[in-house]
Amino acid sequence: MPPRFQVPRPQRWAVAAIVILGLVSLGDLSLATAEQPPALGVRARQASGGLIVSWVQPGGLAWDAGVRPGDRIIAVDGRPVVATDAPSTVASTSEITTESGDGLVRTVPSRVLEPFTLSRLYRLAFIAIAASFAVVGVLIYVLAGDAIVGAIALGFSVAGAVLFLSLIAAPSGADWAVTARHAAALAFGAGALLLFLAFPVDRLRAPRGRRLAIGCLSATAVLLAAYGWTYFFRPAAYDALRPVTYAVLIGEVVGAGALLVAGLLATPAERRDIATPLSVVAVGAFVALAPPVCLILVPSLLDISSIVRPEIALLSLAALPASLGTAVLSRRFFGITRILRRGLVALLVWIALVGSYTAGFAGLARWSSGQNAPVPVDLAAPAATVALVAATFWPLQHRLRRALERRLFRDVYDYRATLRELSAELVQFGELSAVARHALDRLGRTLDLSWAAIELTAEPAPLRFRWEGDAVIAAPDEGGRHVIATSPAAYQVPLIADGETIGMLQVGAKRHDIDLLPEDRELIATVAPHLATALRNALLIRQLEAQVEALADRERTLATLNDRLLSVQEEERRRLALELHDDPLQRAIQLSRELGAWADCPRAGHWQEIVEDIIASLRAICDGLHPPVLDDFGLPAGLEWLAARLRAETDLDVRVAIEAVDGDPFGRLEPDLELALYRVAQEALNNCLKHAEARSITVTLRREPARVLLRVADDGRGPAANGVTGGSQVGLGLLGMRERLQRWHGRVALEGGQPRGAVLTAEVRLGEAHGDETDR
Amino acid sequence: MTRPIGKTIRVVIVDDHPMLREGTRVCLERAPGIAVVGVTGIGREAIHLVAEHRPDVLLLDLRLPDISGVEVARQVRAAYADTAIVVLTGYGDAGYLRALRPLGIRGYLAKTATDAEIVDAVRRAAAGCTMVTSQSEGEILTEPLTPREREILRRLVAGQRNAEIAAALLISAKTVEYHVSNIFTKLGARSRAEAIRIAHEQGILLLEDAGRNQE
Repeated sequence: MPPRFQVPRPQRWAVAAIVILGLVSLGDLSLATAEQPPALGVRARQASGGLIVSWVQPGGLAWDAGVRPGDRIIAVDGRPVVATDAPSTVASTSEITTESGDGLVRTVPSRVLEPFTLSRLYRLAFIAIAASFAVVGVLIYVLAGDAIVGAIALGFSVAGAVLFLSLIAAPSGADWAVTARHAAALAFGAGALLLFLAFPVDRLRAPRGRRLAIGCLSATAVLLAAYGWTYFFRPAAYDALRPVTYAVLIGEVVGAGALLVAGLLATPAERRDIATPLSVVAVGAFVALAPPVCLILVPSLLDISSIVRPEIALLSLAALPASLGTAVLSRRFFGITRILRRGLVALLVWIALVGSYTAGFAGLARWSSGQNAPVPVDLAAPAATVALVAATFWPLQHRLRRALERRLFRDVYDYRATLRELSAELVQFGELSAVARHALDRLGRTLDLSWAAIELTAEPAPLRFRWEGDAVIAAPDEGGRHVIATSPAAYQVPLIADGETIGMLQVGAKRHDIDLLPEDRELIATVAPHLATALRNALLIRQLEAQVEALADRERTLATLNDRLLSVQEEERRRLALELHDDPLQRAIQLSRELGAWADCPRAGHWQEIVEDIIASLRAICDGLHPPVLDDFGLPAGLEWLAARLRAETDLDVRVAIEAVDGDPFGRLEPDLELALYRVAQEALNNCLKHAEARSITVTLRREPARVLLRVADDGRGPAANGVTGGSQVGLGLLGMRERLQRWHGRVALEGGQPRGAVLTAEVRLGEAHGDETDR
Repeated sequence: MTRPIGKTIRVVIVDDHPMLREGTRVCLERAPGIAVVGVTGIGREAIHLVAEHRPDVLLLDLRLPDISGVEVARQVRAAYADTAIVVLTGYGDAGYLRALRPLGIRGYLAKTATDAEIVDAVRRAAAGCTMVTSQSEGEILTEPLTPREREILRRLVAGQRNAEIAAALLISAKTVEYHVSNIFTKLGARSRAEAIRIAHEQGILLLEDAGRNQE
């Protein structure tokens, strides 16, 4: 339903003020009229036989007593009518005696009803009801965003207020009061129907709703016109009009009640909260509708209006607003979030109870009197009535309400369905907090809990999820010091999965301090194992993810450390090579040169050889530490140099093939990558030398646009003999190569060669971001 | 071996080691007809010196603290083609030879070369400035075996392994390996067998006594 309420508009306040002013004036008038001498509602005309009744106020005192137009007036104020009596004297008399055509003589006294109906209490009660109507109607009118709803509500409430205010004056038989009562009753019925056609669900927009509204308004208009015709022309026809009017009225009010029920059921649950203005007004509408329904319509339906004792009526009047008010304030009566639906149930129960009390008292009265005339019954003494109501009303309404709620609100009370759905839904959630949130939300809403919580102890850091109303708060359990103030748990169940207690499921009382039912506890206890399993699974997933993350983290740290170690090592080698080259080597070269000048000395040749050995030795050391060709000419030259050294060292046939796509020169790579690949090749060649017993080795370096491939193939015993897994040294070698290339996400593989031997392949994708590059 | 009479050969020396640099300078200044116009140990400064003095010969060490000698050679070749470059290096290995050859390097000289060899190389390079032939370039680039290398080649021919040679000469296996590698480079051999074959074919070991005069 779209939001129907708005900030009050000034002009509406003005209209409301005028209405209230009018109603207050009407109340004044009613009270004043009630104090006047009774009006019998009869007019007479001069006839041959004296005075003949020419007009009777429909529904007035005389009419109620059975006086009809055409009756002959026998006596006025207790004295016989004389010929000189003018017809006008009849209007101001307090008692007349008439004789109808069939010879029946009726005396209409001014005080037909008991003095009670004129009592202060009676008037105050009716004024209170009128005021409640006015308040509800004006509230809707002022707040309603929809002008139609506002107008209808105002009309409805004004009709109700006028009805009850005119009822104060009606016993005195004032013409206006009787007419106003009749018209107001009709308008009230129509207003009720229209109000609930438009609110809380707008049916006026549907053709069917519009037809219903038009029908209702037409019937009311026709009935009002008929009343006018009766009033002026044929008062006797009121006999026929009255039951029709009642039937229409009852139909309208019952229809309004049905619309209210349907409308509330169609309104989404979350909107039916006491906090919204809509609900305030709807509850007010209950309060306004209930008294007339209970006090007038129910007895009228049962045709016992004449014998409803005023004391009981007033007791009801006092009891209904009191019970509704208590309910709204303490919220015990309504109980749950679906306050309006439950309020409706409460109202129905209330009506049924009061109706049956009324009927019971009426039956008792009839039985005790033995006839159907109004009888003063001792049983109806207020004390006894109050005792009876007090003894039976609350427990009865409680049980009736509960029974009705179970029938009406299956979603709340069908535990099996709830359990089934919850179990099915929990499976769909993998994440811990999602599972907890959903379970808490579902339980909380279904059972209408004030709060629910899951405490998990299984994790290193305890976790607490708390549901309160509509929000789920997930908070780490800080040593039991919760930020949220907690009312004591009404019920708690351990969450046990695989025999291990992983936490507790706790729930508070239902909202509005209603105790948990045994069924509620049963549901919670049944849900707990399912919930525990789901939570445990989620916990395991979470732990697994954390472990994977920790492992990955450790791996990254190790890789970074390794990378740094390698860098430091290379740096150190480079530095050492440089220092050897810069000083001892240069001095040896200098010495060698200077020995050249001593060529004629017999020992010079020998010295020359020694110096040459020193130089060669120093160079061998330098080059082994860090080959300068690699820096100066790049990887191909570096590999050539490696091959040359290997050839000089052994009889191996070492070939180096440098390939670049499309005959381009191989070019240079990133210096660190060149060094890394150089070391990989060096390690691979060493492995061949140590393990493969090969005769020839081919080193292939191939550059493609997106990658660089290094292949070291030998014709030795193959990887199986080398033992990738068996020979730990080879295995370690491979591991080392992978670590060398790890910064570039390089891949290193050792496979069997064709037809024999082993092929080591290292592949590095170029341009691939190596984000974990260390600060070097 | 001809050069324009009366013209002084102007030389820039680039060597990062002060002692060797000084030795080379003294050696060249003693020689008649040669003038050292610039001396430096830094690669970029070497390029500036060449730009400033336009020397006939650039004596260039390959290992320099800032940019490599190869890079200096490349830039000098590109900008000042009439300056002949003689590479003065300790690395007698294949990689450098191969990288330097396309640059049109006139001379390749071991650092252990004697004063006479240095002067000779400078003169030949300066002469090559005006008359470059492939022979002369090839000649210059071919280095003779040192006495030690001869010794080792002889042992290789005799069928000795590296370890045996090392034991006999009281030097380390790595040093032997280094010598062998150099021998291969100088002979253009790819393996021991090939080196032995070339040694036999060229009669290198037979001309042992004629040694240096062979060139």
